[in-house]
Amino acid sequence: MQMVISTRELKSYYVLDVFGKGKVIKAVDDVNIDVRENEIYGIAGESGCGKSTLLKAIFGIMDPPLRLTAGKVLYFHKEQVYDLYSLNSEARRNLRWKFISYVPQGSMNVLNPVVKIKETFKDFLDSHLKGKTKSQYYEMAKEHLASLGLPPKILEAYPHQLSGGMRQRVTIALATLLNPKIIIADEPTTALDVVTQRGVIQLLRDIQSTLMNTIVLVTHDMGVQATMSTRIAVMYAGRIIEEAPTKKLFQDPKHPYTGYLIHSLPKFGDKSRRDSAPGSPPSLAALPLGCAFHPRCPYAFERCKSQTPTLKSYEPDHKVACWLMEER
Amino acid sequence: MNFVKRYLLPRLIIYFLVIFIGITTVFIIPRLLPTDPVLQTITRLRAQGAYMDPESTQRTIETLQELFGLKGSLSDQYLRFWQRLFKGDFGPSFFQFPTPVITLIKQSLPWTAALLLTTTLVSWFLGNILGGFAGYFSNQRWGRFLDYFAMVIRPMPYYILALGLLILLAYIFPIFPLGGGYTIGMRLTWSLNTLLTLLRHAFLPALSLLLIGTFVWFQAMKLVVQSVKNDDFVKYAEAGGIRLNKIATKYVIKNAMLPQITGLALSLGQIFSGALITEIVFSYPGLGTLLYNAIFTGDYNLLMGITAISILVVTTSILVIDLLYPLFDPRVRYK
Repeated sequence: MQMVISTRELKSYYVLDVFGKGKVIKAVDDVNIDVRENEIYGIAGESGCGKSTLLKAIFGIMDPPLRLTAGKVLYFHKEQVYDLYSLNSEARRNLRWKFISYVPQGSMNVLNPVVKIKETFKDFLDSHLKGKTKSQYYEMAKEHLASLGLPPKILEAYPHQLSGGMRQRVTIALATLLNPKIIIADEPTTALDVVTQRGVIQLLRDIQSTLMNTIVLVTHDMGVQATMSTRIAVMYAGRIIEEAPTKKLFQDPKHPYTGYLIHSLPKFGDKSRRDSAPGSPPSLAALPLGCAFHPRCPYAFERCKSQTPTLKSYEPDHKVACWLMEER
Repeated sequence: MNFVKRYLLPRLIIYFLVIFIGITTVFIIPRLLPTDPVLQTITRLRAQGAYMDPESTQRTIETLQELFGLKGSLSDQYLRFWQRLFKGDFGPSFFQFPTPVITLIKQSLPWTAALLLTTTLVSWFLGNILGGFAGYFSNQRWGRFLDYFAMVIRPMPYYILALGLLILLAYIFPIFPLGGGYTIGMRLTWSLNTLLTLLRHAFLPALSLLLIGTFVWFQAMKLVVQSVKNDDFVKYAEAGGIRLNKIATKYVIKNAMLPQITGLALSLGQIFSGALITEIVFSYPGLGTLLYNAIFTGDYNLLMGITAISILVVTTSILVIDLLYPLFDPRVRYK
């Protein structure tokens, strides 16, 4: 299948200066992912494992102290390969929204509070298209909302007049405005109640099935991952530790951490106690030597404590970074 | 209509209540003073050598009490105080007896209003726009230059800056007159020549006020912008590839302006206490000098007059801004 985005040994660190002492937080470390056309690629992992940072690195919106330390992000657009971090800001701006768009985390405050929604739509259209009048932009926004099944009258509202779910839908509508090939959604359902979550998920899925584009979905909610994603990458302490098609991952998790994640989900009719991974996630500023998961891993052995495992394919389509795979 | 009932009406009632209480205070406070202005005037007349027999003294006292509004019981005085107020009559000034207070104010007010209204408004606009852009594009060279400039100008005591300008532009390079509102002996008529003379005289006072004012607003705005530009909606607009100039104006400045609007209302109200130092340094006519003389000579009719007008103007400008505010911030639109 055709690739749309690919990262090569991507490293993105927060470089902090704490009382004169340099401190490096390895939020994204050696990440290689290939996102293909027409799939929903899920990135899962607990809070603070570097999911959002990975998205920022892929999208190219890094503010200091976050820096790209090494690696490349490649965009495959119209038979051409763009190396994101070698492009100038104007070229990057041109790819935004036409090729790749972004649904931000916490959409409560992402809309300009002092202008109507239609103004925000106009600004997004105006910055990427040319030679249209104001009323044409409003008309386009109206048609777009109608095609997504959202009431066009919300264009006349101010952000504070909309509910949280509606605001999230507005950001999804904004993200799909120019039919991008890839949409990056950062925790789109977090902070919404379950009923609204369902609506938002349904909207994203409808969009994907009509546009046949790609969605990169980041959420810690394994339930959402299970219903939405076609492929899932599990992140732990800044690294991808397992990547497989959803069904495979849920049926046969290879990495002990993935196993804990999946077994923590409640099942119908099963009233037994759920085990969670012992201990708590490590600080990204002081990672343990070797595999970052080894202090919490019941199967850890000597090699795990000294060497860091790399992500390798053990079955077609199933990549794992764990020394246990080698021992078998 | 809901707006009128639920917002406008209560707001107007508060407006009139504040004016009522303020002006009543203006009435009460001078009456708590231990000095008797009538006796003071008589003493002054006597000191000037005027002889008065007891009968005419008594008549003078009554006339003066009438003029100063001190006749009858306190409630009578209060009622008459309001009656006279509606006619714009604040009684005679003591300092320039018997010129009515309202005449003095009418002479000074146009100078102050013209100078301060323009400089306040212009410096507000300039300061906010410059501060907004400099705050958003904070790593641009011109922004940093403005910032350093503000750091030099802003902490400078105003009178030093004013004197500096005066020495530089009126004495060393005599481009502008040393002082005054117009050339001495000149007739104020409606002609281009008069206008030019007035502008030439007003230039230095206006420049000094503009410099300080602009950079005060500049620094305040820059601070607000620095927090607004990290807000989610700005970051999102940047991620969306919206052009930076548009983000600066429509997203950053439009939001950061909100607290500045309140600030404008307050500084507009201060106009009517004049700009004393400006007026003294540039010997420019205006309310500041008038107020200063009123305090210095214990001329409380004049003080009451200026204070009453000031109360009216401050409350009115706050009311106007309050009513206009929802146009700028839809979140405070009244249900």
